[in-house]
Amino acid sequence: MTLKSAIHLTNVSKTFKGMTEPALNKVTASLEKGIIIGLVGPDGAGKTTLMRLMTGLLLPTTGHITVLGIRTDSPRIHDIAGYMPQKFGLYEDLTVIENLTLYADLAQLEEKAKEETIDRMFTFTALRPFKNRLAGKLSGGMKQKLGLACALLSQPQVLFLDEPSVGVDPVSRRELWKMVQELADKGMTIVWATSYLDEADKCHQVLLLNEGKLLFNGPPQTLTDTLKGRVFRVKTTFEERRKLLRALLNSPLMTDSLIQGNTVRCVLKSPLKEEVKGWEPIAPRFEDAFVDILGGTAKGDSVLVRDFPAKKKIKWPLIKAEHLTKNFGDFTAANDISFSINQGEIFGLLGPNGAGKSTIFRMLCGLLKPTKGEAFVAGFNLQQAPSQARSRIGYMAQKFALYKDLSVEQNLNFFAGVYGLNGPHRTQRIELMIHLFELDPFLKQNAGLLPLGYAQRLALACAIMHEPDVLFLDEPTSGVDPLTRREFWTHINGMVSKGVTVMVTTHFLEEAEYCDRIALIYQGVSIASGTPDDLKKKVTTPTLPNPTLEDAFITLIEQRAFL
Amino acid sequence: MSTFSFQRFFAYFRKEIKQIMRDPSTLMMAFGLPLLMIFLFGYGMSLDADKLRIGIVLEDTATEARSLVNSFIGSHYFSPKVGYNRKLFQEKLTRGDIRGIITIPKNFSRRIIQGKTTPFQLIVDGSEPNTAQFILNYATTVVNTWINQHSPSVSPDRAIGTPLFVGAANVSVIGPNQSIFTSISQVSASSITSPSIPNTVAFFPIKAETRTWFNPDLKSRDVLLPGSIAIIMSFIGTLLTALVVAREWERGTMEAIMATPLRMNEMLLAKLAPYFFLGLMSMVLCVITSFLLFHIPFRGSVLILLLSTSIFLIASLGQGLLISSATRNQFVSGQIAIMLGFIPAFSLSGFVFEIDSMPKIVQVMTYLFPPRYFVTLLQSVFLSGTAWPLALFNLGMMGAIALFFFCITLRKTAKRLD
Repeated sequence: MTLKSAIHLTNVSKTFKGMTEPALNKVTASLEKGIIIGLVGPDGAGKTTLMRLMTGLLLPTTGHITVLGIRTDSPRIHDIAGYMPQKFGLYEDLTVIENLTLYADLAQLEEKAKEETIDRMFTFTALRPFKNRLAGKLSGGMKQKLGLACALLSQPQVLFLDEPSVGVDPVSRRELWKMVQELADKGMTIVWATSYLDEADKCHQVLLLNEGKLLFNGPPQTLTDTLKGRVFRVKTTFEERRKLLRALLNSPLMTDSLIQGNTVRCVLKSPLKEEVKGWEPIAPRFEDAFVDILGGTAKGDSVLVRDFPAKKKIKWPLIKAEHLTKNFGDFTAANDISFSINQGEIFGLLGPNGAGKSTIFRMLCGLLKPTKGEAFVAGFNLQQAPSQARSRIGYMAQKFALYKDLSVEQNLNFFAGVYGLNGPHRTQRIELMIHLFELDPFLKQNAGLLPLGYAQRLALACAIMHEPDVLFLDEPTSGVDPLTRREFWTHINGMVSKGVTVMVTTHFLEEAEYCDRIALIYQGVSIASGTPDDLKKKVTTPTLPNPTLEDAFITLIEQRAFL
Repeated sequence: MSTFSFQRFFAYFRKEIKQIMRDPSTLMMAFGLPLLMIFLFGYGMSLDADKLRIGIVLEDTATEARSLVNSFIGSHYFSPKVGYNRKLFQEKLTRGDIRGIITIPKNFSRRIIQGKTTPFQLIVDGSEPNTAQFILNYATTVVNTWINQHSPSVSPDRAIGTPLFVGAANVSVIGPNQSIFTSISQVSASSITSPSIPNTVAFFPIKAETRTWFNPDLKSRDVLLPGSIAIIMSFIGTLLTALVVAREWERGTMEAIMATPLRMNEMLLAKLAPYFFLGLMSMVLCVITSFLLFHIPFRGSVLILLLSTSIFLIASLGQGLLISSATRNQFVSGQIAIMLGFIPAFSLSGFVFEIDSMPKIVQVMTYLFPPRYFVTLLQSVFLSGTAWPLALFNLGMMGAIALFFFCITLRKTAKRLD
């Protein structure tokens, strides 16, 4: 045991009651002291289980774990470790200061130390102005900071954060990262589980789990370096990029391909032997390595492309928002929003939490009545002909709104009923969906037990069964791992090629790259719009020659905030 | 290794209090629900029959017959309709408009005066066995009272040489489809003491002087209300805590709390304490309401009342905590709490159903549920006064059950997630 390591995992396995496969399988690793350690892996890889094992909330079936020399089955573990679970662990009916005081007392801080520490936390999190606000009334980013502060009150030597940034906007994510970095600089050991791989890139050490097994343990750079000479940027045109993406994904040489503005970023199975014109070598990222180690992305042709009926060509915009305004009391959630979306376009609504994306989204689906302005979908005015308009809409809600206790077949039948399909037409549509998404083997299985990728397919099947002209996606891949997310977008791209129009909200800016156009919403106002490349151009400076979409997002919002 | 820390305990305790104060549903449960239930039990549930609807067929209109009828009319047990047509009343009985028919036959008055045994007929509706029984008993009482009161008015000279009255009632109990002739019972004997005729009268020399202890008016409400307070407290107690641990699981706060140095016994005690005080307040509310609104007597010691309420609350709250920790789901927990808090309390406590008349195995089961002891304690405290030996036994048994729940809960809520 070296002095440098903080956590030792020795042959750790965990099998839950009733499960045949272990959730964690013979993991042995040592985690260094005083750094940020990233814990990554696809959904269901065992990240949360490992977190809970390291905090002593679960005990391993075999093997053992020590944290700073303390075995996790000893209650003393909770004196040295701080832990922020996925839902932040805040009491929503207590105020900010009450939450802090509770956790300070639970850590047995003395009166004076308590005041000082809480005061320091207020400075650290900038939550002082919200001292007396109920935790439930805070925005996602603020909750996350408060959760962090609560976990820090005991002045732990080791801090465990379980997916702290799920569902939180990029600005808040960056702030949180800065705060955690500060802590690590002071010598705290931090274990950070995440599904955002750009975060993993910034960690000093990364543990990559898949199906309960530890696939990689080391600095992320080591893994990323294995991809040297295998990552390229391929120039194309705005119109051709989706076609190129499909072609590249279908190539047997390809591990992964992604749209980035007017280019396609691709990862090859092996380095190119000679230079190819138009293929610009670029530096690999951790995400490339992640996809590579997990076996690469699925093939580029969505099953949908084969048999999904193509839409008739339409010249006029499928979705139109005209001066949409929504007031809740004296609060303006959306202010004079106008845009129009043409057939076969993917339109993205981006913005921090609470910016008004959902409000705009709901007005366009006919779920909210605008205070001012009008919305049209497929030519129907949502105020005057809401049911006609809605019958042209497919809607896929966050976290796949499926009935988990119903089987796949029952879910399909239910949604067919909801959309008013009946008779032979209904049978035929359901059969088509089963065939398109290859749901045959799962028909009798409950939706709650489906593998994530299939749950996603089923949710999409339910949303498009009635052949909508327009598809609304509300944070469709939130909390979903990169592989599943890529598969999802393959399907969406397939539908778009058939003339379906898509509107999407997302926090994943990489996902926003799939959009043809983006509107950036902040405080109810559309502060910028255009193609992803347009937005990036807006923030390009000599110091930042190649901004990512995330850079654009953050810069544009900050500019606006300082106005 | 940290031992029990009062700082952590009070921190968690204060948190619980704040949450209670901010959650109207908890306060509703602690104060609204017991009030509602005590109104329901107090007003809606009574085993006494009052103003029983009966019909009296008067086939004899002479003074004595009328006097007996007046006795029925004057009694608060009955609300009789008097008529002359037997058939009409039979139809009413069949319809359920009335629950019994008393027929005073021809020659009733004459036979009384002559001192002959005088039958009268009482028909009751056997489809309502309780009411039928009440009518039988009350009618007997009325007739007896009438005999006693009436005797002085029977003039001595007419009465000379005759037993004043030996009533015989011809009682029939009829069910919806049958007419069961049950008995002809001698309605109890006369007790005339006409000194002038000591030797000629064949009367019974014994007179029973009955006393009903603890509840002299035999008001069932006085017995039922203390019992129902036990039921209410059992229900409220279990329900109050059934949701609190499950809520923390559902909201994800349990995971964060478990990762702090807070110990499980600190947490459970800190969860128990506020609801314990809340429960005591519900109890005070129930007791005050029974006093002011329903005039229930209180004959025992406040100390026993306090002790038994406290121990009972710990048992019920502990049961709620156990359910909550085991299910980790508010909905399921609530359902189970209602089942376990209410049903055994209602049916196995001796509150309505006499334990002595249950099958042996069920009788044994009643010992496992704290409401049994609490019902006994409350009934004795309200009605019969201080009885320490009885109290100690029941308190001890409840205490044992409470301790049992607490230990199990403590074991169930180990600081682990699986």
